Amino acid sequence: MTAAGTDLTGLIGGWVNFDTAAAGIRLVDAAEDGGRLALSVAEDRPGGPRTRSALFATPLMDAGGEGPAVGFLAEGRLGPGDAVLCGYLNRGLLTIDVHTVTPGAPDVPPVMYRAHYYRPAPAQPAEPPEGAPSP
Amino acid sequence: MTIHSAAEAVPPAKPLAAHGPDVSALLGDWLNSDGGAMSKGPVRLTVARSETGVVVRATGWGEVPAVVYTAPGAPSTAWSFSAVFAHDGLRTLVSAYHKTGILVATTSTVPLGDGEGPGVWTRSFFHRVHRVHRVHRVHRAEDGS
Repeated sequence: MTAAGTDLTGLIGGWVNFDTAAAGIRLVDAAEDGGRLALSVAEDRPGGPRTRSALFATPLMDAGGEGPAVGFLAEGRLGPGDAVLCGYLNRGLLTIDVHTVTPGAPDVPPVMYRAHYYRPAPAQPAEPPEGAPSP
Repeated sequence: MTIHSAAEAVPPAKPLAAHGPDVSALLGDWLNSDGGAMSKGPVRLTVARSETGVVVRATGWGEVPAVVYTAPGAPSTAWSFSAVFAHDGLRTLVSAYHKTGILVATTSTVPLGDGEGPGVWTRSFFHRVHRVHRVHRVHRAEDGS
Protein backbone atom coordinates (compact mmCIF):
# COMPACT_ATOMS: atom_id res chain seq x y z
CA MET A 1 0.00 0.00 0.00
CA THR A 2 2.84 2.36 -0.71
CA ALA A 3 2.51 5.49 -2.70
CA ALA A 4 6.18 5.51 -3.68
CA GLY A 5 6.62 6.78 -7.17
CA THR A 6 3.02 7.86 -7.49
CA ASP A 7 2.16 11.52 -7.93
CA LEU A 8 -0.27 12.24 -5.12
CA THR A 9 -0.42 15.99 -5.66
CA GLY A 10 -4.05 15.98 -6.69
CA LEU A 11 -5.13 14.19 -3.55
CA ILE A 12 -2.97 15.79 -0.89
CA GLY A 13 -4.49 18.50 1.27
CA GLY A 14 -7.44 19.35 3.41
CA TRP A 15 -10.85 18.59 1.92
CA VAL A 16 -14.08 20.16 3.15
CA ASN A 17 -17.57 18.80 2.55
CA PHE A 18 -19.72 21.12 0.44
CA ASP A 19 -22.83 20.07 2.33
CA THR A 20 -22.59 21.86 5.63
CA ALA A 21 -25.91 20.46 6.90
CA ALA A 22 -25.44 16.75 6.32
CA ALA A 23 -24.07 14.33 8.86
CA GLY A 24 -21.18 12.13 7.87
CA ILE A 25 -17.62 12.92 6.88
CA ARG A 26 -17.04 16.66 7.23
CA LEU A 27 -13.30 16.92 6.66
CA VAL A 28 -10.61 14.77 5.16
CA ASP A 29 -6.94 15.58 5.51
CA ALA A 30 -4.84 13.61 3.05
CA ALA A 31 -1.07 13.48 3.43
CA GLU A 32 1.85 11.39 2.33
CA ASP A 33 3.24 9.55 5.32
CA GLY A 34 6.30 7.42 4.90
CA GLY A 35 5.47 6.65 1.31
CA ARG A 36 1.83 5.95 2.05
CA LEU A 37 -1.34 7.96 1.61
CA ALA A 38 -2.66 8.73 5.08
CA LEU A 39 -6.17 10.02 5.71
CA SER A 40 -7.42 11.78 8.80
CA VAL A 41 -11.21 11.75 8.69
CA ALA A 42 -13.48 13.95 10.80
CA GLU A 43 -17.02 12.66 11.00
CA ASP A 44 -20.21 14.08 12.49
CA ARG A 45 -22.91 11.70 13.65
CA PRO A 46 -26.41 12.73 14.65
CA GLY A 47 -26.50 13.34 18.36
CA GLY A 48 -22.86 12.55 18.82
CA PRO A 49 -19.58 14.37 19.03
CA ARG A 50 -17.27 14.78 16.06
CA THR A 51 -14.93 11.82 15.78
CA ARG A 52 -11.57 11.58 14.08
CA SER A 53 -10.26 8.42 12.50
CA ALA A 54 -6.98 7.63 10.79
CA LEU A 55 -6.88 5.39 7.75
CA PHE A 56 -4.27 4.45 5.22
CA ALA A 57 -5.41 4.48 1.60
CA THR A 58 -4.20 2.94 -1.60
CA PRO A 59 -3.79 5.55 -4.32
CA LEU A 60 -5.44 4.69 -7.60
CA MET A 61 -4.50 5.69 -11.12
CA ASP A 62 -6.59 5.84 -14.24
CA ALA A 63 -6.94 2.63 -16.22
CA GLY A 64 -3.68 2.12 -18.06
CA GLY A 65 -1.64 2.88 -14.98
CA GLU A 66 -0.13 6.11 -16.25
CA GLY A 67 -0.25 9.57 -14.76
CA PRO A 68 -0.97 10.85 -11.28
CA ALA A 69 -3.24 9.32 -8.69
CA VAL A 70 -6.87 10.12 -9.43
CA GLY A 71 -8.49 8.34 -6.52
CA PHE A 72 -8.00 6.15 -3.51
CA LEU A 73 -9.40 3.14 -1.73
CA ALA A 74 -9.42 3.12 2.06
CA GLU A 75 -10.79 0.36 4.26
CA GLY A 76 -10.90 0.35 8.03
CA ARG A 77 -12.58 1.51 11.16
CA LEU A 78 -14.53 4.75 11.02
CA GLY A 79 -16.10 5.65 14.34
CA PRO A 80 -18.23 2.71 15.51
CA GLY A 81 -18.38 1.10 12.08
CA ASP A 82 -16.31 -0.54 9.40
CA ALA A 83 -15.94 1.64 6.36
CA VAL A 84 -14.90 1.47 2.75
CA LEU A 85 -14.09 4.82 1.19
CA CYS A 86 -13.90 5.02 -2.58
CA GLY A 87 -12.62 8.48 -3.42
CA TYR A 88 -11.90 10.03 -6.80
CA LEU A 89 -11.06 13.38 -8.26
CA ASN A 90 -13.47 15.08 -10.61
CA ARG A 91 -12.47 18.46 -12.01
CA GLY A 92 -10.52 19.37 -8.93
CA LEU A 93 -13.15 18.21 -6.49
CA LEU A 94 -13.05 15.02 -4.47
CA THR A 95 -16.03 12.69 -4.45
CA ILE A 96 -16.14 9.95 -1.84
CA ASP A 97 -18.53 7.03 -1.86
CA VAL A 98 -18.74 6.18 1.82
CA HIS A 99 -19.83 2.63 2.72
CA THR A 100 -20.33 1.81 6.37
CA VAL A 101 -21.28 -1.37 8.18
CA THR A 102 -21.90 -1.40 11.92
CA PRO A 103 -20.89 -4.78 13.35
CA GLY A 104 -22.92 -6.11 16.21
CA ALA A 105 -25.91 -3.92 15.37
CA PRO A 106 -28.22 -6.04 13.21
CA ASP A 107 -30.90 -3.38 13.28
CA VAL A 108 -28.59 -0.82 11.74
CA PRO A 109 -28.45 -1.44 8.00
CA PRO A 110 -25.28 -0.85 6.03
CA VAL A 111 -25.34 2.65 4.59
CA MET A 112 -23.76 4.19 1.53
CA TYR A 113 -23.72 7.89 0.79
CA ARG A 114 -21.85 10.10 -1.62
CA ALA A 115 -20.21 13.31 -0.53
CA HIS A 116 -18.33 15.99 -2.39
CA TYR A 117 -15.36 17.94 -1.10
CA TYR A 118 -13.34 20.97 -2.07
CA ARG A 119 -9.89 22.13 -1.11
CA PRO A 120 -10.03 25.64 0.30
CA ALA A 121 -7.59 27.97 -1.38
CA PRO A 122 -4.52 28.60 0.74
CA ALA A 123 -4.75 31.74 2.80
CA GLN A 124 -3.23 34.75 1.11
CA PRO A 125 -0.67 36.72 3.10
CA ALA A 126 -2.07 39.94 4.38
CA GLU A 127 -0.94 43.17 2.76
CA PRO A 128 1.89 44.66 4.80
CA PRO A 129 0.92 47.78 6.66
CA GLU A 130 1.67 50.97 4.87
CA GLY A 131 5.21 52.03 5.48
CA ALA A 132 6.39 48.61 6.60
CA PRO A 133 9.71 47.53 5.14
CA SER A 134 9.47 45.06 2.31
CA PRO A 135 10.79 41.58 3.09
CA MET B 1 -44.83 -5.92 -32.72
CA THR B 2 -42.67 -6.27 -29.67
CA ILE B 3 -42.54 -4.86 -26.21
CA HIS B 4 -39.50 -4.22 -24.09
CA SER B 5 -39.65 -5.10 -20.46
CA ALA B 6 -36.91 -4.17 -18.07
CA ALA B 7 -38.88 -5.76 -15.27
CA GLU B 8 -38.45 -9.15 -16.93
CA ALA B 9 -34.71 -8.89 -16.27
CA VAL B 10 -35.34 -8.99 -12.55
CA PRO B 11 -35.39 -12.48 -11.06
CA PRO B 12 -38.56 -13.59 -9.28
CA ALA B 13 -38.86 -12.22 -5.80
CA LYS B 14 -37.91 -14.39 -2.87
CA PRO B 15 -38.43 -13.49 0.74
CA LEU B 16 -35.44 -11.96 2.44
CA ALA B 17 -34.92 -11.65 6.13
CA ALA B 18 -37.80 -9.79 7.69
CA HIS B 19 -35.67 -6.78 8.49
CA GLY B 20 -33.69 -6.81 5.24
CA PRO B 21 -33.99 -3.93 2.79
CA ASP B 22 -35.68 -4.29 -0.60
CA VAL B 23 -32.90 -5.07 -3.08
CA SER B 24 -35.02 -5.28 -6.22
CA ALA B 25 -33.63 -2.07 -7.73
CA LEU B 26 -30.21 -3.67 -7.89
CA LEU B 27 -31.15 -7.06 -9.30
CA GLY B 28 -30.69 -8.09 -12.89
CA ASP B 29 -28.21 -8.27 -15.72
CA TRP B 30 -26.32 -5.05 -16.29
CA LEU B 31 -24.30 -4.20 -19.39
CA ASN B 32 -21.45 -1.71 -19.46
CA SER B 33 -22.58 1.16 -21.66
CA ASP B 34 -19.23 1.37 -23.41
CA GLY B 35 -19.56 -2.25 -24.51
CA GLY B 36 -15.96 -2.92 -23.56
CA ALA B 37 -14.73 -0.53 -26.23
CA MET B 38 -12.80 1.48 -23.70
CA SER B 39 -11.69 -1.56 -21.68
CA LYS B 40 -12.78 0.19 -18.50
CA GLY B 41 -14.47 -1.86 -15.84
CA PRO B 42 -16.29 -5.14 -16.21
CA VAL B 43 -18.32 -5.66 -19.36
CA ARG B 44 -21.27 -7.23 -17.59
CA LEU B 45 -22.52 -7.53 -14.03
CA THR B 46 -25.25 -9.86 -12.84
CA VAL B 47 -26.81 -9.12 -9.47
CA ALA B 48 -28.99 -11.86 -8.01
CA ARG B 49 -30.49 -13.03 -4.78
CA SER B 50 -28.88 -15.94 -2.95
CA GLU B 51 -29.82 -17.94 0.09
CA THR B 52 -27.77 -15.63 2.25
CA GLY B 53 -28.36 -12.31 0.55
CA VAL B 54 -27.12 -10.97 -2.77
CA VAL B 55 -24.38 -12.17 -5.10
CA VAL B 56 -22.65 -10.39 -7.95
CA ARG B 57 -21.24 -12.10 -11.01
CA ALA B 58 -18.75 -10.30 -13.22
CA THR B 59 -17.78 -11.68 -16.59
CA GLY B 60 -14.39 -13.37 -16.25
CA TRP B 61 -14.11 -12.80 -12.53
CA GLY B 62 -16.68 -15.24 -11.16
CA GLU B 63 -19.34 -14.76 -8.51
CA VAL B 64 -18.97 -13.36 -5.01
CA PRO B 65 -21.29 -12.30 -2.20
CA ALA B 66 -22.14 -8.62 -2.02
CA VAL B 67 -22.87 -6.20 0.76
CA VAL B 68 -25.94 -4.11 0.04
CA TYR B 69 -26.36 -0.58 1.38
CA THR B 70 -29.28 1.70 2.02
CA ALA B 71 -29.24 5.47 1.80
CA PRO B 72 -29.17 7.48 5.02
CA GLY B 73 -32.67 7.73 6.39
CA ALA B 74 -34.10 5.14 3.98
CA PRO B 75 -33.45 1.79 5.64
CA SER B 76 -36.09 -0.15 3.72
CA THR B 77 -34.52 0.10 0.26
CA ALA B 78 -31.06 -0.91 -0.92
CA TRP B 79 -29.58 1.38 -3.55
CA SER B 80 -25.95 0.31 -3.55
CA PHE B 81 -23.69 -2.71 -3.22
CA SER B 82 -20.04 -3.56 -2.95
CA ALA B 83 -18.35 -6.80 -3.89
CA VAL B 84 -14.73 -7.94 -3.83
CA PHE B 85 -13.26 -10.12 -6.58
CA ALA B 86 -9.87 -11.83 -6.60
CA HIS B 87 -8.57 -12.46 -10.09
CA ASP B 88 -5.26 -12.60 -11.94
CA GLY B 89 -3.26 -11.73 -8.83
CA LEU B 90 -5.39 -8.68 -8.24
CA ARG B 91 -8.14 -7.63 -5.84
CA THR B 92 -10.97 -5.61 -7.30
CA LEU B 93 -13.61 -3.90 -5.22
CA VAL B 94 -16.71 -3.07 -7.23
CA SER B 95 -18.79 -0.33 -5.68
CA ALA B 96 -22.05 0.48 -7.42
CA TYR B 97 -25.20 2.46 -6.90
CA HIS B 98 -28.51 2.62 -8.71
CA LYS B 99 -29.76 5.95 -9.99
CA THR B 100 -32.61 6.67 -12.40
CA GLY B 101 -32.51 3.23 -13.93
CA ILE B 102 -28.78 2.94 -14.43
CA LEU B 103 -26.07 1.39 -12.34
CA VAL B 104 -22.98 3.51 -11.73
CA ALA B 105 -20.02 1.36 -10.77
CA THR B 106 -16.50 2.20 -9.73
CA THR B 107 -13.77 -0.40 -9.56
CA SER B 108 -10.70 -0.14 -7.36
CA THR B 109 -8.12 -2.73 -8.36
CA VAL B 110 -5.04 -3.30 -6.22
CA PRO B 111 -2.34 -5.95 -6.32
CA LEU B 112 -2.88 -8.98 -4.11
CA GLY B 113 -0.22 -10.06 -1.68
CA ASP B 114 2.59 -7.63 -1.02
CA GLY B 115 0.37 -4.62 -1.58
CA GLU B 116 3.13 -2.78 -3.39
CA GLY B 117 2.30 -0.09 -5.84
CA PRO B 118 -0.77 1.92 -6.67
CA GLY B 119 -4.01 0.52 -7.95
CA VAL B 120 -6.25 1.33 -10.86
CA TRP B 121 -9.58 3.10 -10.78
CA THR B 122 -12.44 3.02 -13.26
CA ARG B 123 -15.96 4.42 -13.35
CA SER B 124 -18.54 2.85 -15.65
CA PHE B 125 -22.23 3.10 -16.36
CA PHE B 126 -24.43 0.05 -16.79
CA HIS B 127 -27.89 -0.39 -18.22
CA ARG B 128 -30.18 -3.35 -17.70
CA VAL B 129 -30.44 -6.03 -20.34
CA HIS B 130 -33.84 -5.59 -21.95
CA ARG B 131 -35.47 -8.80 -23.02
CA VAL B 132 -37.75 -8.79 -26.03
CA HIS B 133 -41.08 -10.62 -25.88
CA ARG B 134 -43.63 -11.03 -28.59
CA VAL B 135 -47.00 -9.53 -27.73
CA HIS B 136 -48.93 -12.72 -28.51
CA ARG B 137 -47.12 -14.41 -25.63
CA VAL B 138 -48.37 -11.71 -23.30
CA HIS B 139 -51.91 -12.18 -24.60
CA ARG B 140 -51.72 -15.91 -24.04
CA ALA B 141 -50.54 -15.36 -20.51
CA GLU B 142 -53.42 -12.97 -19.87
CA ASP B 143 -55.85 -15.56 -21.21
CA GLY B 144 -54.44 -18.12 -18.84
CA SER B 145 -53.47 -20.37 -21.75
